[in-house]
Amino acid sequence: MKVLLAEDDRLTREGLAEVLRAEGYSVVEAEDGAEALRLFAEESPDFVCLDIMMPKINGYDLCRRMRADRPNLPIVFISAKAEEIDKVLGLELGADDFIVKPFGVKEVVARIRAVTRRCHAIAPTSAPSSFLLGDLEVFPAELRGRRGDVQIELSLRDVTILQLLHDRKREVLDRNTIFNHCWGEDYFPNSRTLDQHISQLRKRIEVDPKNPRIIRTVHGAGYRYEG
Amino acid sequence: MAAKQIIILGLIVCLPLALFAWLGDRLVRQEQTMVRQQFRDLLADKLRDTDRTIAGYFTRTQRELLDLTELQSLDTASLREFVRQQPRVSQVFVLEKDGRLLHPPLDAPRNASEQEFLHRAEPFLVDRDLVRLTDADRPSASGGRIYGNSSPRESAAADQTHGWYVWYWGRGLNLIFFRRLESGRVIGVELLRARWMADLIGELPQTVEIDQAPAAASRIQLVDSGANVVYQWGTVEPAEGAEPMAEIPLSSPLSSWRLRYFVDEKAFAAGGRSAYFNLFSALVVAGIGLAGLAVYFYRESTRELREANTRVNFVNQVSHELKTPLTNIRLYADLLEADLLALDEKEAAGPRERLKVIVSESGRLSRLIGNVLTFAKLQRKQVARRVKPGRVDETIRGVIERFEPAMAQTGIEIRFQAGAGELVELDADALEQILVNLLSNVEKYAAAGQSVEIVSSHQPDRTIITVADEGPGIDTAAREKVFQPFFRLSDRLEDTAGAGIGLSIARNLARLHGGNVRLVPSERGAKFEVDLHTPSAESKATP
Repeated sequence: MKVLLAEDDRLTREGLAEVLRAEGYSVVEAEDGAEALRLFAEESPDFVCLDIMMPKINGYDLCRRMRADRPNLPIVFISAKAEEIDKVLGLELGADDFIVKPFGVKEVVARIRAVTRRCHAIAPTSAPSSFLLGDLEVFPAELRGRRGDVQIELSLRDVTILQLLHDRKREVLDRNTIFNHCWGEDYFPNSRTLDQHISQLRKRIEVDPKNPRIIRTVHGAGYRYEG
Repeated sequence: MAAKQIIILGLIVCLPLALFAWLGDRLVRQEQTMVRQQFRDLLADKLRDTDRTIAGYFTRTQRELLDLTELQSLDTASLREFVRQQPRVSQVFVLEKDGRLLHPPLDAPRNASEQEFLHRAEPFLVDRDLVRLTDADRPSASGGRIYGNSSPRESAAADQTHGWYVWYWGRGLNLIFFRRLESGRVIGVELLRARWMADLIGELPQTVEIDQAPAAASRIQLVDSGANVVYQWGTVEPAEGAEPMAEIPLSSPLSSWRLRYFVDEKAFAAGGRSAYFNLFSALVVAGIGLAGLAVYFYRESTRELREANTRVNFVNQVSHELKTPLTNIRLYADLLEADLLALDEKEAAGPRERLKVIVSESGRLSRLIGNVLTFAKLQRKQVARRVKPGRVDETIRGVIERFEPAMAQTGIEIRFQAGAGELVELDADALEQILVNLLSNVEKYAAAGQSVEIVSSHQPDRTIITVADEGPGIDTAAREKVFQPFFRLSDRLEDTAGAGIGLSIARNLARLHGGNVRLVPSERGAKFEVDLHTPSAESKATP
């Protein structure tokens, strides 16, 4: 899933991009309104994060132009001023959500996941709405899993990994395969990134993370779901 | 400037002006009435001077006639000679003591003049009233008496030795000088009317000599008992039906005649207009003065407010500027925390603890900035409500999650008894800020209590949340004051810092959302109750 991130502050933009990438999104970055508009046309993102006060073209105008092109495009506004957010809501520009500075990673992640669920709802696929990994039922479009009555929040990347394991049940998947599939071929991860991610994911989806049943380690080879 | 202030300032200027105008109008009217009265008195004095001139003429004439009537002989021939020699005398008559007419003779031949005199004088001669004549003849105020056909019986006085008899005949007033002789006989001299009137007019001035402004253009009229103008002088022609400014009756013997003084009314009206113009000018000056004063006091009274607004705006602006670097600090601290996950537990323990401080402190800074901005917005009444379906307990849990690390460090345990899990219409941001302010206070002031208990409960359309700590509590005297902006329980430097706006913000936000924040009685510590208007959103959520 591709996200266009338009924010003029470099550090904020890069930080946000990293958070989004860690969640499993492919991120296109723009440092001003004009660049955002160009990338919007070239990259055709699934949704857009817009800062309101930006050089060249401000967030309000960008929103109007993008919406004119794609009326259902999900847009998340970023702003330091609550007044600007009120304006966005008041103008009925149709913001899907907004993030007010200063924000933490958790808040951004929660809002981005909410928007992703809405994206899936807008463009439903023919794929089945859920699949089972043992006693865990995964709902990819809703970015969540369920074990009994317990709801488990999942990231886009978590869902992609689980989907891959499910689709290639009983196969040993080496790290490169998982990386290429879930992080993208352009990504050059730290050798421990995948292990770390799997370790965190196990904490959430396994009944006993120290004795995993869904994502098993195949020493020296990779990971496997045995079904 | 707000409409209310404009109205108040308008009233401050207009009310005194209206009062001044009313008083001024009354004053001008009174002044005019007074001036008019003084002027009438002045003119009456002037008329009395004229009257004295006329009276003087008659006194002189009377004195001359007294000399002339010292006659040696009263026989017809002598009397006829007397009439012939005196140009101002038209006829002479003599009455016996008992009133009988001696001259002109009734039993001897009479000349035409005597014959005519007898014809016109018959009423008073026959009635013999002249023996009781007086000069104190006073015609009635109505002026309706016809003197030519009757005699003034009521005014006659028997002890009068000489005087004037006023007699109306023909074209008007005729004058008879009478004198009672020692023998008891009465001699009467009828004056030639044309002659005495010509003499009298010769005594009167040609022009009005008065220099007081409105009277400079004036006219004096001498009118007879039939209201006919006998003589007049002065430059102004009075309009038809115009009322004289002053009017007096003449002294005897012309007491049925009157003197009238006319002045130019336009000159008088001009005086009034000039007074009103002066009043209007004074009002304009007073109005400008009052408006100036009102603006001055308004500016003085609002200066403090403007300065406070400037300060708030400045803090507002600075707070916004702080947000971007603060965002980056929080964002990168979070990212760093994620990076630490990749490290060995033991290796990462130290950096993780330090990172927690950064995250927690940046969170505190965010809350402070948030409070300053909300306070500024509440001051400007610009806080917008953002109500959408949500669960109160979820918001409470989110806030507790944020506070737990810091609270744990100060040794405070947070207990939460959830009872508001329904989907309701809620401004989660406002609720979050209310709770954050209450918990910040617990963290700052009630750490000694070692615990804080949060209880939420749902009622139809309302949610009640209580936050109770076990700290030192709040004195009864300060129970309401703690909700006032900038109020702090202690201002000592060594005490815990704070701006004293947290509870004020919490209460204002709650009130903005149809609720309130109160300090409720508790056995230990301080217990705050948040009451919010939260209509159910279940019907909206379920299609």
